[in-house]
Amino acid sequence: MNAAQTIDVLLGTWIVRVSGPPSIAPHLAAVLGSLRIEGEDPAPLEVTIAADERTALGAVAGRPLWSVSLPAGRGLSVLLGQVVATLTSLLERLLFVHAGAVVMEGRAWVLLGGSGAGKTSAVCSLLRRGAVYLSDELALLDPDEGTVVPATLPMAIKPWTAWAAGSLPRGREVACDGSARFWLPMERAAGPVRAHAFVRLGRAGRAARLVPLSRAGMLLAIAGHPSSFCYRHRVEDAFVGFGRVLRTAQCFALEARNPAACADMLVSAGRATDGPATLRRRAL
Amino acid sequence: MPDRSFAAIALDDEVVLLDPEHGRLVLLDAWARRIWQACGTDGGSDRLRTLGPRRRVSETLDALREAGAIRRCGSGWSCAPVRWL
Repeated sequence: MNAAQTIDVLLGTWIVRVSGPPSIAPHLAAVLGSLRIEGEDPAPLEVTIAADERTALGAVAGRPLWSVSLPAGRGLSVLLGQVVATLTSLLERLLFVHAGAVVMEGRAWVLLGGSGAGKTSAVCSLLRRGAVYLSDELALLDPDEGTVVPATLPMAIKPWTAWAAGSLPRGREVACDGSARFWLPMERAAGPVRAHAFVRLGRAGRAARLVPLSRAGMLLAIAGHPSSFCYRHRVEDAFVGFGRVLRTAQCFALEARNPAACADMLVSAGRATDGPATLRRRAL
Repeated sequence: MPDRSFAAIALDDEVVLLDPEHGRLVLLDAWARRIWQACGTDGGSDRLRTLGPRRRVSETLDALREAGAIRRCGSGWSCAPVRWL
């Protein structure tokens, strides 16, 4: 008998209730379990997964918000994406941007890039070099404090991510979903960390380069990226908040075919106390 | 062009304008910022002539006008209302 389970996952101030078959519901709960939301009070989310695991519904405060088809063998990834998207829509004070984030030398670095840009593999490489994990896909910013707030969901490691990263940082596998592994790094930030640098990841030619980017240019890059700017009611919050955080941050563009292979370059920049000169390295 | 109003943030020597109604951002680099500011001052047209090559100034004015940041005002220009943040 495949009786549905209901699990309340307490994520700091946010409650996610997951109901569904035992073949998937506990795994979603496990993947979400490392997230802690503080400084916000989002309405509870209920996720109901159909017995055949082909569809799921999401409701916030009892009001249906989304329904989604679950592809065979990849349902967990889709559900995690839905839960994260729901969280971003419920934020009232914190800002979000689709980005990885790590702590180097006690300061937060935010790595901005689209899907496939190399965020996860770059984060993996930095963690192996002593950085501390803040986020893989969802960077949360506190605009009043100028900090990056940990959103320590497991990293979704796809085969090509693992290949680009070389090897994984110390941690444990929380769940898997087809060929993707949900990997929770051992070294995780316990609290907010001052936002020090933003790096826009972009594919480039032979020579990898880390070049300064203007703060205004970074603000436009964030606005053109999945971020709080996507929600109409938060556009002005995002404009003011990101602008405020960027005023004291350094901004770079990393142009590289494989950002993970440029981890040493980022670490060097992270150790620099003042603004970076243009750093270059040979073709990778 | 209907009158738009913008929110604005200065970051270093650049300015980012937000058109809240359309959720659109406009980046004014240091050069465009000088042109834009000149449009908002008395005697701006005279000042524009001193800022650089006429063609470059003209192209920048066109870009600013298309973005809604300035508009024709008699023989000169005026800036759209801006709320600094």
